Amino acid sequence: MPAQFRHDKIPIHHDGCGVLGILAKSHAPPIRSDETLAAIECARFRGSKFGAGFTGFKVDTFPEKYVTLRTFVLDNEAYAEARNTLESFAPEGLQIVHETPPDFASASTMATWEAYVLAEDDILFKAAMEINARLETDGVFRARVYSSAKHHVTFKGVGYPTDVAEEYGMLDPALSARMWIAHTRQPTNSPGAYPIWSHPFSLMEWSIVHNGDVSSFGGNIPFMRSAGVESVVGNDSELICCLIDYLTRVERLSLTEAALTLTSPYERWWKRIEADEGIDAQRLQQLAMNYVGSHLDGPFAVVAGHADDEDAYMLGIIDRLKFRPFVVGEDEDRIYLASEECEIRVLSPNAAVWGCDPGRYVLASGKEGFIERGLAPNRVMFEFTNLKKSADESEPDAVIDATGMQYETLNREIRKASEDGAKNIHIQRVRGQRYLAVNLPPDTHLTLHGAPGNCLANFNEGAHITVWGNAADDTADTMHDGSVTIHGSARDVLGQALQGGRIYVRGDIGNRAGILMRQYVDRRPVIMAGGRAGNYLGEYMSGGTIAVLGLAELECGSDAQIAGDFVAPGMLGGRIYIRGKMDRGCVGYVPNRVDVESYLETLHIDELIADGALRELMALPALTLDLMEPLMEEEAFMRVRRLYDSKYRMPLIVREGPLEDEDLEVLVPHIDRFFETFGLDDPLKATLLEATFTRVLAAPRMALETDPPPVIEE
Amino acid sequence: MKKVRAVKTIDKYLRIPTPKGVARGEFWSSDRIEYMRQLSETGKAAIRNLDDAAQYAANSRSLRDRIRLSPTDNGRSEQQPDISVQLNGFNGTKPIPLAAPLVWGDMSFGAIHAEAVKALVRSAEATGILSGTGEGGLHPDIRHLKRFNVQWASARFGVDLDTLKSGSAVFIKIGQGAKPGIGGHLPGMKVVGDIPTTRRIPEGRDAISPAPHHDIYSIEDLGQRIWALKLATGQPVYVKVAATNYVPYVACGIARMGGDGVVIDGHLAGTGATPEVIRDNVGIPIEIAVAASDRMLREQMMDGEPLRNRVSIIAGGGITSSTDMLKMAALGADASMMGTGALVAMGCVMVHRCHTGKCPTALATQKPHRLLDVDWATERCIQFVNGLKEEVGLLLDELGYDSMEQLIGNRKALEATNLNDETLEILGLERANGRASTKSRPDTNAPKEAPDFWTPWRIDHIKANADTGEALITSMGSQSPPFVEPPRVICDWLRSDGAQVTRPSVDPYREEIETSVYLAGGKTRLASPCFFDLSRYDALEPAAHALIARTASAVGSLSVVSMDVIDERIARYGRAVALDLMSEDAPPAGMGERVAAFLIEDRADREMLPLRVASLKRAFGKPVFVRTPPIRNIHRRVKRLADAEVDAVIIRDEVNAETGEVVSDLSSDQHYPLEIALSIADMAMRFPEDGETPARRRVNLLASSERLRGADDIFKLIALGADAAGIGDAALIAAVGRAGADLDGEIDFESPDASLRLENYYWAAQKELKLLLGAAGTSSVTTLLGSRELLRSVDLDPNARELLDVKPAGR
Repeated sequence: MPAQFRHDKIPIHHDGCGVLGILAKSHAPPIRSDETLAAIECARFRGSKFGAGFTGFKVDTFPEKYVTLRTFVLDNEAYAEARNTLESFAPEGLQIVHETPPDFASASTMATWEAYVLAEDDILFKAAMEINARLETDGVFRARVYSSAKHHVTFKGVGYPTDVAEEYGMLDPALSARMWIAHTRQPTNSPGAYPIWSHPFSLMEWSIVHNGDVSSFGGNIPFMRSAGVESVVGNDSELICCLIDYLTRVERLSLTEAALTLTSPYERWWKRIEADEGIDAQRLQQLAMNYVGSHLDGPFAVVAGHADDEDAYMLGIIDRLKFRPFVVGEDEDRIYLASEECEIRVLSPNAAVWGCDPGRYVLASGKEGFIERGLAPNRVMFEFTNLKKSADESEPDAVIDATGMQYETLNREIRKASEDGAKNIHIQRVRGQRYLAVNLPPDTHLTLHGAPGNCLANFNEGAHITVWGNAADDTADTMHDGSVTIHGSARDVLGQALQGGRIYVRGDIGNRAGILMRQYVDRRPVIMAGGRAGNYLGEYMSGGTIAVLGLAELECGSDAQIAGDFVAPGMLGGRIYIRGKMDRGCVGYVPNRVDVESYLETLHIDELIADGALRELMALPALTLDLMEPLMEEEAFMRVRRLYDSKYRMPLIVREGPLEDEDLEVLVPHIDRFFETFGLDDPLKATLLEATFTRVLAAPRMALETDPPPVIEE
Repeated sequence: MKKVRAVKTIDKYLRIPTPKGVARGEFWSSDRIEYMRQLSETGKAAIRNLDDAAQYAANSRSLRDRIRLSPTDNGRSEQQPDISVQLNGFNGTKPIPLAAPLVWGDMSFGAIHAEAVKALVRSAEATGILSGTGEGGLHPDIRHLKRFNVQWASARFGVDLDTLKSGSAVFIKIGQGAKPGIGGHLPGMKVVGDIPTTRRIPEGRDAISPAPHHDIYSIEDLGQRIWALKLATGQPVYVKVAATNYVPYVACGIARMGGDGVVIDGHLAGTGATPEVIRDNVGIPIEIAVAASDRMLREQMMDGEPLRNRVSIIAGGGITSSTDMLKMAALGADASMMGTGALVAMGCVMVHRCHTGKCPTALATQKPHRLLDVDWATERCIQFVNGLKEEVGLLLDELGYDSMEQLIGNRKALEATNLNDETLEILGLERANGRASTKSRPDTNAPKEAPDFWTPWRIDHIKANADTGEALITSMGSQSPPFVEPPRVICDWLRSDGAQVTRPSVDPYREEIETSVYLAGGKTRLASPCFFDLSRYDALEPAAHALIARTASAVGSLSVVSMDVIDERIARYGRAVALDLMSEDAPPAGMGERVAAFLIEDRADREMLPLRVASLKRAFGKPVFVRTPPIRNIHRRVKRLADAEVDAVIIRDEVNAETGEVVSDLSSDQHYPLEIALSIADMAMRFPEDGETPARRRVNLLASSERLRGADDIFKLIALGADAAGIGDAALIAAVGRAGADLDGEIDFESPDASLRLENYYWAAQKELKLLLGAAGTSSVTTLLGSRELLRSVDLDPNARELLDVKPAGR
């Protein structure tokens, strides 16, 4: 094999990061670079001084009839060589229309050489690849094309976003564009301070920013190399950009198909996607098969931008396991994608903001608005706007304005107020500050207005925290006592290892809510959500109660499923209540249907299952043990259940129906309190109490008998 | 009436049940245990000079034992060397002074008995070292003491603010050497007594901590958790990780994120329970991990100083002696961590029963009828540390250093004669005096005779899979190649990755990991990337073929069945049969329609092959696979086969027809070993002549071997480019409970038991594959395909390594 294709020569660079995308709707004015900067700087904690960047799409000061080719060059020699390489494509029709030579005096490491170019797509691609390959020797990069599009321009460098914006003179005057993507980088290793490792990564008409570290890297590399990408800087984001360019430009996949190829939804989701999104399961199988090597795995949250003469498109993709934070926002004028809500709130205090569902994608264009919202199509949205302040909110004895405060400062101020004896502390204008209410004395009441950051109320041992807004990831981790009341929604991993106290959320709860929740002595933790829940609800839960009410759906009579896939995997104890019916294939461990069918068909060949019984089995809506058992002889059943049983799982008891006395005993005190807290109507409560619930318990001996009545503190 | 058994107090050493000498097949040999007992009983040095040290390391394959301590030219130091070190506390937290460069490994209350926990902390207090709680919470009897760290792990067992604030430091446990990429595991029979209360979990159920921390999926997430803990507790925060592919980057990340120390735990580290497939295949050697991390931490700067100045390094994993401690220090560790060693001091006899809860020495058990004498155990630990301290002092003196601090990171104190140049360079070592520079180097610690391929522990593993349908759980010790047992096949030199910090591992017990693969343009689906391919048709009765075909049908796989044996009974399961046409052009009448695929051997009349393929496809519309041996010009052959429009190429070990021995190995000049041929074939089909779509996208590549043992081999072959792997003898071992070579007439292939066992084996291998996939941070077999980045080689001949296109561990 050619030496340059050798995998063991490839350097690998891992990043963590903050990402952002802002798209202007066609009626709205363009977006300024300084606004973009303000938003990405809000995620400064996610990044570092090791790299940042922006891509503007349809930037007003750049001509769209030429390709703006931007190349980092190390020195004059590299510049000359890169330029010669580019010119060598002249016989193939490539024209350099205008150029700005690199200014080495003002650059700290590599300088930007900018050229306006005219060329056919494939020639341009070859030229860019040739420059990159020719000026790389064994991981030393002397020149690197980093932007090569007609409709966008990338600016990136070493430093925080502000440093990079200043370096390229993006602030005075500000640049205007129809769409921006931006990035602040947290490298795990920084192999010298070169801008080539900064994001965005751009190739042809695509530019992307990414937060994560894909585990499929080793499989993606040979795929891209066999498609003509010889030289790589070793960053997975660069690779994702190459993949998306290849799939859309060369393989001519639609944006939707390209997104579904990259995210590669689980085989068990194909039928659902077929039903929800109208994409044939057969086609999904083809995408899964034909493009092996282009599927991404491991954590990723990607904002990709693409523009043509007519429109600008923003594509957001998120891994199916939901390992990275990713929120979507919309207001009158704009559509947003971001790592953290605070990035959006800086620009738009009243935007609707929601979390993208795992493995789904978000697609929007300036002219069409949302094409895909990253949510199930029948989803009823809970909006956190114009909340009624409850009348009984007591007078604070300390008020802190968090504007401009770093988390250290704000936490110090809260601590100080608490030590000065304040029992009721209010914080105004919270914007993404982390670790709030960590180590707060019991019985302190903390009220937050705005968008608190990650790790709110961790280790809480008795404080009461109220959020007027949405809470971020990792709220109430290892909380033992006290309460968290959220008037908006909560993002992922809410109440991990919750072992006491209560969490009430008016809106939705994200993925992995209530995982590892447990009870001990008299502690009976409770999570109650007025909206819906994401995937992996109550994973490895062993105590306490989770209730998901889906009030918005209840009010409008929707029968949409209000919890995501993989409910209660590895559940050992406690109770989960989900209002409405669930697809049983989403609860507990249910093997892939195809595999169970193979097994049943074989038992049929063995003559252990009769013809009629096989037909009935195949017609079941979900192949769960309790549904199959009545249709099978004991021997066949004992054999097939081996596909489900494991030493490490307890069977779950799933029951659909109205709440029974024992359920009411557990739930009613909390429902009463929940409705009172959030000022909800009595008629809705009455409807709720009569509604159908799906109740999930672990095996019998862990269930009711050993479960003492709940303790509700007053 | 319940029988009441008298409580037996353990206050002396039990007899070691393993044979004398370095027992092949176990790292913790009786020699090692005897040495440690001597220290623990006398409190005096047993290794008194460098000759003793060299002798102690002889005959062991672990890297540290193939490295020697090398004295300076300065001669002995003037004064008694200072063996104390200091673990740093940065960012305003308190440093931790250690009287010797040693900490006890983190062993939880639960994994070990309360009395053992107490003995560890008390002995740490008495000797000035540090102990750790593990993930089991804090035992009330030790709460008032100081010399321990409190572990914050993925399941949060037994932690609250008070607990976190006690002791000297908080250790965030991301990974451990015995199971990189998966979580702690306390078997249900040990979740009894006070343990469910301390951990706040249900009694009697296996407690398996999530594989990742669900709040730490990236480096910035780790930073967030470090600071949340620092803000809440004011304690120094260390991060414990397993030695995996990216450990140097992880160490740098921890330093940048404000962690005070990095604890790196390598293979050979102990555990109360771990899947054997993980313990024996995931993670790189601690020697390489420490050296590479230390080097990168010294190279990377932050605010004008090397990152190394901001963190301490603690290294663990099979540390047995003062010699190991000094070697770890010279490779870059501030202190060594010893877990199993401490248990041996307290009487562990290495019978590998921790995971069953039936420890004869009352250490790793919660049974009430045996009780460790805590005073005796404390005293043994204290004397052990005293003995080690004396040895460290003596050796340091002979090496010519005044203090431990001078030795830390000083590679000049080490030399090696028995590692290849590539490994030496990664370790940062010089060649020993007089040694010529060669790229590869014969392994002189290898046994002189070729060992049996099927070791007893490998056969036991398959049988256990077939008995239970579950991954095999084991505990302490290791027989794993290449560190302990000599490697048999190339796969034995390859290690898989454990994802941590830069990306999370995927929880294999609770989250979705896909193992299905599609072959032949979607015409064939395998539930797991593994099919049955037994070559010795003649040796097997038809019932055996029927059994295997039926099993393949049940589990959603394929089975290769020869023309000579297919009959009506097998044809019923034709949906899972790939029919081997042998030398025939067409299948027997009526069979072609019933089978799932055809298989042709690529031997003679190669011009005819495209025609045979085309005619079979035309006649039946079924996929056609072609089988080829791993010949040296495999790259040309697969291109030719791809041109012939075959659906899949199966590369299969070449077996000597008479002896049954595999002849395609590194010494053959006609063949490559299977792994190398596979990797070359995969790459050859990816890089087409100008402009064509790579053939690899339409042609599947399968690897098949009689020597394929289980999920670890399947995983590695997929990472080297196979879509799926074929098993041979292992299936027979599973089905009948004995080695395939011993087939005779007594085996009942028709018994329902054989069929259950074979299904169990397939599912157990699938579960073990999920463990490996999850550990590597992948949620699908499809994204593992050809992902050589997830593999690393350990001291493999660099020529072979380059042919595989795999990086060496430490790069």
